[in-house]
Amino acid sequence: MSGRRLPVAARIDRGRPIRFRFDGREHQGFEGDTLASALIASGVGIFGRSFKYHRPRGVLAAGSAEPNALVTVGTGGRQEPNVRATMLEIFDGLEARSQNAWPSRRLDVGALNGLLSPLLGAGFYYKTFMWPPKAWERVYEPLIRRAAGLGRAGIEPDPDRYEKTWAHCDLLVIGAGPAGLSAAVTAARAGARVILADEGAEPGGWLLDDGGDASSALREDLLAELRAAPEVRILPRATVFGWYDDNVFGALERVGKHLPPDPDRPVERLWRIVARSAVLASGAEERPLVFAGNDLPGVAMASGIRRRLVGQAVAPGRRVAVVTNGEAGYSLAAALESREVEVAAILDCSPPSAHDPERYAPARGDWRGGQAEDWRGVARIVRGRPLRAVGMRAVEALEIERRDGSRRRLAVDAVAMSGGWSPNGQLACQRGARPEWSEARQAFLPPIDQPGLHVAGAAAGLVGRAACLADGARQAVAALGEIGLAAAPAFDPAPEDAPPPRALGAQGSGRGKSFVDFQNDVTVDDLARARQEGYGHPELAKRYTTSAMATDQGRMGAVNAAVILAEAQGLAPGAVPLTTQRPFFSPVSFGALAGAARAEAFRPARRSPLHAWSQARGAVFLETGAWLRPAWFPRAGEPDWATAVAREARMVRLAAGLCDVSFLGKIELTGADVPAFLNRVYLNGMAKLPVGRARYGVMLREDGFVMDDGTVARLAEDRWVLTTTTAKAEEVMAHLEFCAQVLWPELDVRLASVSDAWAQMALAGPKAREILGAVVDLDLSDAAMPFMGAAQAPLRGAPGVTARVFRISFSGELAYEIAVPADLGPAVADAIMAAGQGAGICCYGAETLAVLRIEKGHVTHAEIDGRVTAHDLGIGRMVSAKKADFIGRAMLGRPALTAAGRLQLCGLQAVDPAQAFRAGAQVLNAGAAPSLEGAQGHVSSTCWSPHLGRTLGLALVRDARARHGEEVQVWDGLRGETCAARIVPPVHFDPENRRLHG
Amino acid sequence: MADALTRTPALAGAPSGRFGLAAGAAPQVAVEALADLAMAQAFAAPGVDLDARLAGRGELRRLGPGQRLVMGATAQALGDLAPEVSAVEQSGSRARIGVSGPGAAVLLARGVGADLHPSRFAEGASAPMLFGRIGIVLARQGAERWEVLVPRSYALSLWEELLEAGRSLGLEARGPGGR
Repeated sequence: MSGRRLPVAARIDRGRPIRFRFDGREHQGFEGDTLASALIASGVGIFGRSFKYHRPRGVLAAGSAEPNALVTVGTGGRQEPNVRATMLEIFDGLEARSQNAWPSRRLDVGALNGLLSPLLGAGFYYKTFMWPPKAWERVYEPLIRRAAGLGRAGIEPDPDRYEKTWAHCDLLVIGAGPAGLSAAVTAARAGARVILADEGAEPGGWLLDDGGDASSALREDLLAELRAAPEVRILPRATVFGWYDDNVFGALERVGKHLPPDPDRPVERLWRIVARSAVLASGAEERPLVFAGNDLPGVAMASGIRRRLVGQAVAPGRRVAVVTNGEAGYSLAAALESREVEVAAILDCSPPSAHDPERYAPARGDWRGGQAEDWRGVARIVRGRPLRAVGMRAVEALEIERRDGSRRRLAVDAVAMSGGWSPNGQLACQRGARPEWSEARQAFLPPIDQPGLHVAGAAAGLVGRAACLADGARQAVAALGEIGLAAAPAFDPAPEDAPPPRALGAQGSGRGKSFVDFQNDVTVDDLARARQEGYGHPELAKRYTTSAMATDQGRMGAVNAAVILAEAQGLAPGAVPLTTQRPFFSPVSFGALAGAARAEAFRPARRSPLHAWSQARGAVFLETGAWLRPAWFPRAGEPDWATAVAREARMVRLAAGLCDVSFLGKIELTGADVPAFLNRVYLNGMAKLPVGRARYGVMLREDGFVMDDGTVARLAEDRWVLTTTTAKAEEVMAHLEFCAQVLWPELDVRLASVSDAWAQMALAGPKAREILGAVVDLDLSDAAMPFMGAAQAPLRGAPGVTARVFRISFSGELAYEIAVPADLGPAVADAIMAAGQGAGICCYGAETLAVLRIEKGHVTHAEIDGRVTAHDLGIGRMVSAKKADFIGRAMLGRPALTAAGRLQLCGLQAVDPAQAFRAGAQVLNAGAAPSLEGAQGHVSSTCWSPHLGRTLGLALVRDARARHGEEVQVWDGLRGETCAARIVPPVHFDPENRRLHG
Repeated sequence: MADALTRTPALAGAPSGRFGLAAGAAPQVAVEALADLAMAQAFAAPGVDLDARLAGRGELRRLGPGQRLVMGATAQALGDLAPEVSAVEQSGSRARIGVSGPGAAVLLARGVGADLHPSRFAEGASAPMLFGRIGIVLARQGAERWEVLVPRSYALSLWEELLEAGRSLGLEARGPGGR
């Protein structure tokens, strides 16, 4: 079959042929074609095989709800499964493939499933594959997954770009059909900021599908006015998929899906639209009719056929049967006949109660108010119902039953069906509201005017162009009124056309499957079985049968399912509700959700002011949080990192080392009440810290556990600087701001994060004093600058610039930290290295810092893991007994926090220098079987100590302080390793702190 | 004894060049490393009109209630305003990135959730906000001209994000050494 393209006017550009491939075969279409229209035009009927029964499937609908014509597009990293052929505009070089078909879409082995269908109904998997239980995971599920399912995602990285953006408007209009255009024009005339988002390649909605001159002219006029309005933005190819808090809407724009790849253009753009108000004018989805064989290629929605007929001059077949319960079928028949396509019959299946033989008959000449095409009235109108569509790979005939009970077989190669309209009100029901059945309109309607979102036109259940134009204007006025903007409706009130008389449940009783949810292969029988087995509630039936769980989320089938479930219980349509609506209205790719945040850009990296300086010295970097930190500085000839780290650690203790500590959080405080404030946030006394001194401090959370540690230095009478750990810098700042603003607003405290203003370096080692003296103009003698001293001093070589010097030590050596303005960091680091060259200075990184601090038993967040108290860490004596209160004090005395048997900080040393253990390993009693039962604690940090010549660690072990000297085993269950170790005090090296004082 | 110490620009190493679709045509947006400025964070004591006290001391950027960033001033230079206004030195803490051109607001909206319409964010206005996950202070300096203040540690990451986000607009980047 070929030659479905009609020689009639349409919106395709016949001067621009486009070549593409489908299943390896070359096809040609025109600019303006979708993949669906181009393939149908060239005679392709079968687009793929269905999910479960592998039935041949063609094209059912025309928009984003399409459940059947799903194809895989692209290859390699661009391979994208389940692309709706109805939404894909063709372009030169497009490569598409059918899905779920083997060996080919015409001859498919899996179709045997159709013969087994009595066994494969809903619930089949749960009942059949129950034994043995383990086989489900290993055997059945992989097999079923291979046989079922649709397209497969590619596994290579996607080379395309995706963008995200924010947008703001007074009025978001969703859908650019008659109601949407009218709403947008109404708002534009009122001077409002408008965003008009539409799913189609061209805005217009029904005004495009209608095909009449009046509709075309109206569309052109409205769009011209909108394009000329300065505050209106029209977004074509944009599906609004979600309605979120604060009236933020999510929309997915297909920027480059219809174009060949371009490295600079995103394929999709994710919009977050902050709308002060919105009008939902998303139209309605035509409802399929449920009869046997309603999924055969060639059976399609009347509206889908109409869109391709009017838009792309594509005929559905040579001889068409139109099955309808309302006006849409008649309208399509007129459109077909006016284009010389034979209509075998119009089968009107509206029920007898609504029977009005003259309802459309007198309108034969002028039946749409003279606005649409001329009805020539060739086709016979038959009253009755469809029984069965017949055919193997495509529809060959339609069996019908007349009102009088007689049956007939119509030889046709296409069937158009129209079962009324389901308003697309899903978006309005994503935040808790539920659609309600309207007897008058025979449809589930969303709530029409919720704050921030007004539903207009066909989405509100209205029928007819004039009524939708009027309603769009009316709802725009209402929505704008809500935000205080006065507007006048662009269209006057107009009456509706007649709605379809009755929503229909199952029709045919002919042999064969009657599909309700096409994409998930759910039939009337499946719903009946669900009800029989007690899953008649729509939410249960949905999960039991998978009806409405496909990518269209029930847009095609949910209303039919609800009507059929109601009928099965002897209830009226509408008595069974629809299932809950949630985002997304239409599938959204992971690429669009990720945007540019992938690979190195997954999250922004923070770099120290000394980053480039360290890089130039060959640093190997390590990610800690967002920071890129130098881990070590390998030298030529060093075989591995461990050698470099051991060398750096030795050099620090032997001579001196320079380490970038700009990563620490730095908070500067001023204000009359800072002493009182600090006293309340630290567990130890801070109020009496004198000028020129620094003090180690520990903060607790309200629940009594340790939050963070650091130092507080008082640089002047009214100036304090505190440091936090790298990991908790933001958290501590937020905590202190909360304390200052919410807990104690009466205190005069001003807090500033100055983390980025200073480059801070630790200069450690016996030679540190003489080296630092070359850089700052400061008396560094013990008398003037004792341990825990703090000072501001002129920086040599930078007139007028003051450095901050703190004599604090994480390494256990004579050490200083010097903070200089960030832009001078690299120059000062150079100066320190130059001054220390003769003394044997080296730069060292985070790994060496860890060795030095583990040797000294200093804790980090490996130990402060949110579960330890100050007493657990062995610093219980720091807890001030004098202070009336501080954060965490009230909870410190809880029995659980003071009970015996808590894990306490200790050191661990490998008994055999040749053996090692790792952080995360469990500490077991000597001789205990390797098991978590009876574990005594765990290792929090480890390193190879070049000074003790063995592996050291810090650990949290039950009652550790009473167990110094005890031998235990360290068990690494992941690697199956065990190592003998001895519990020791946490300070492994220089416990008397002699080196600290030079 | 020490040689004079040289200062390193906050955006040292930021690449320059033309990026994206409009490489042949006029770029829609320019991203530029602006000269580093001294800056101080000023706090008001309760009841003090901070903006009035800071008049003439430098351009102000809003950081929050009772907090401003004074551009071009050191904390020391504001010392005479104590105790009603206290100041903390922030020179070097933030890089300044200029974003300008007809596509400037479009580019910024790709990371910023605030409404940048002139009726909501007028010339002279500034506010702290996020660009993606990076905290910035955005100031509007003209109809199509903006200043982005970004923490020094995030400056290169933001620069890279801006260049990437601007490719579909066509973007010209001028790093600190660029012309």
